[in-house]
Amino acid sequence: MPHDLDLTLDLIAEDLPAAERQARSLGLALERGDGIHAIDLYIPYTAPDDVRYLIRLRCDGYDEQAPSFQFVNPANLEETGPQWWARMANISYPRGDHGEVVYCTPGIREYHQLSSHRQEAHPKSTWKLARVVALVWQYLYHSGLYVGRGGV
Amino acid sequence: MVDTTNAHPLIAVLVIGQEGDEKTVTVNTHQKCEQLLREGLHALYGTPGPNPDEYDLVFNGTVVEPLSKTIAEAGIAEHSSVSILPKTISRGSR
Repeated sequence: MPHDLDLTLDLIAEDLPAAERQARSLGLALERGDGIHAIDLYIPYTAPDDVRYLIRLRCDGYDEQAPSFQFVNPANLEETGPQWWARMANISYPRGDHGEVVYCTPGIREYHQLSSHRQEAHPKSTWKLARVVALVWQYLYHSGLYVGRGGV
Repeated sequence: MVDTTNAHPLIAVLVIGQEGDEKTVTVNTHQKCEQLLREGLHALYGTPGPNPDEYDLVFNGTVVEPLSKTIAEAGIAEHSSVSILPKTISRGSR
């Protein structure tokens, strides 16, 4: 069933202030896209080797479905792929049905879409925006050492 | 001369839970950060709250370590925000 875009934008607007406060508390910059990208939230990350990354949280269908978590080309926000990911030592990187890299934890859309997790039932609070921001922080700062770009 | 350094040891701190729920707790800056973690968990989740050993106190993007340092030593001041997050998150695999 298609999602109601206006409802999605309203729900994002409702939950965004708490997500922004969470981001500030965690030292993250949270930016919302403009225009057709208003369903997207972006979190930039500068790695210890000064390489710059950009995480895109795509929130189409929020809050019926969890936000998608993908690293994207900072110069082309639609370009995803393993080459844009910051690799962390303690993270495993399964692939989804379409080859997409999966940050494999409840609250992330790609996790819930994996065949091995599709039957699990989780409350919507699992992917509330403020929680997803906390998951981003966990990925970047609590998943072992940064070990470089790509190769995930 | 009046020593003003300890004049207002009670401060209000905003604690933010994993899902963005928020509570304000009042703490003494001379207390240890582990006390702030405990009080924050109680404020967010009630009593008995979750086990503090399973949570991190995060201030300005950094986990406060050790928790035995005082709130003042950690740089947490009036109206600061701290996040309280589980130390581990569930990770699936394909």
